[in-house]
Amino acid sequence: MNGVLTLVLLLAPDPPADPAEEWRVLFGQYAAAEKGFFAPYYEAKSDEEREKVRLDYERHPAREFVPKAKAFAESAKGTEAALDALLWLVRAAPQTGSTAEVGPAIDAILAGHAGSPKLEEFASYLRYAHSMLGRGAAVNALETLVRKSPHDVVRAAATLSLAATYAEADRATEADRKRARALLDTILEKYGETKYATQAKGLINEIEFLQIGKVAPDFEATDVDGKTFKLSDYRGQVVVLDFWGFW
Amino acid sequence: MIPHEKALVQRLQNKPFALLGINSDGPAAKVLEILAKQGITWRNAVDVSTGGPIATAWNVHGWPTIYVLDAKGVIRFKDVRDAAMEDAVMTLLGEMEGEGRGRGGRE
Repeated sequence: MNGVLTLVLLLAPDPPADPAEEWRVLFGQYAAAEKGFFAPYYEAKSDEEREKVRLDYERHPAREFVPKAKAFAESAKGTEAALDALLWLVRAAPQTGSTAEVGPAIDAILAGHAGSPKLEEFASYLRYAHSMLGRGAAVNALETLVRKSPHDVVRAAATLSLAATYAEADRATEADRKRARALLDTILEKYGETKYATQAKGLINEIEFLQIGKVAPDFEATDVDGKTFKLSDYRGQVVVLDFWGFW
Repeated sequence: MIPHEKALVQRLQNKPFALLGINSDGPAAKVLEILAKQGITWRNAVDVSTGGPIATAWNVHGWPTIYVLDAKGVIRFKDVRDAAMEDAVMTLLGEMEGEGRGRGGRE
């Protein structure tokens, strides 16, 4: 009897017995390979040495891992671990050039996991995905999230990404900006307690005031000597404002 | 960016022109260190981080982000770099000179 049961279990490879564990091992192997790939850079002892390091991104292990992650997501379909694999496929695409995988991965995420609380970061990331996906597909995905997610933060993140996708499009029209503005007002109204409300205010400021032809909003700043100044102190001069940093 | 900006600042030192940096690298001591290393002499606001108050209010998500304002404080150009930034600045300085002459003529 026991022998028969064992045999049945052995003959049933799908779904994996413990998908979370299987993904942990699989992803662990990838993470180790990635660490190895960057090792020459991290082992360099000085800026000069680091500058000499040439990494061949054609050989970045993410490329090889794409089909494995894809196969795993399929075999463990519906599980939390499959969601992790799908999210990885979306995030890795710009690096691996596997942009063809992004659309199907997003479809699978929305079809099987739209209620997951893990999708907050994904919703924020979609703000930048329209260049890869096309604006229509990005908008569809974000609207689905707003409709289906039971989590305030996920809906707030998706609404903000949706507004940004409209407002920051290459050829944003007045209608796009209006649509974005309405979405941002929704964030302030419904999700005022989330960090997305702060971001919404920034975007509203940009839509309303940071357009060519409008007077720049004033700000007060402190310079490196600890002296405060205002942008408006510079009226009467042509001003270049350069937001920069090396970090 | 920086070499071009240095040349522009030096060339326009006697013109009504200011380059203002809004830096997101860290506290004043850290920014000071970077300015010294890079030989940057123009004024910099210490915005501390990429989520600093000015960068947030101006909805900056990519660095560098550039705005060029005319003498009335109106935004006239966005995201112009190097040669395009210089062209923008020269256009606006040219406008000011033109207006100055216009007023002078009427007086």
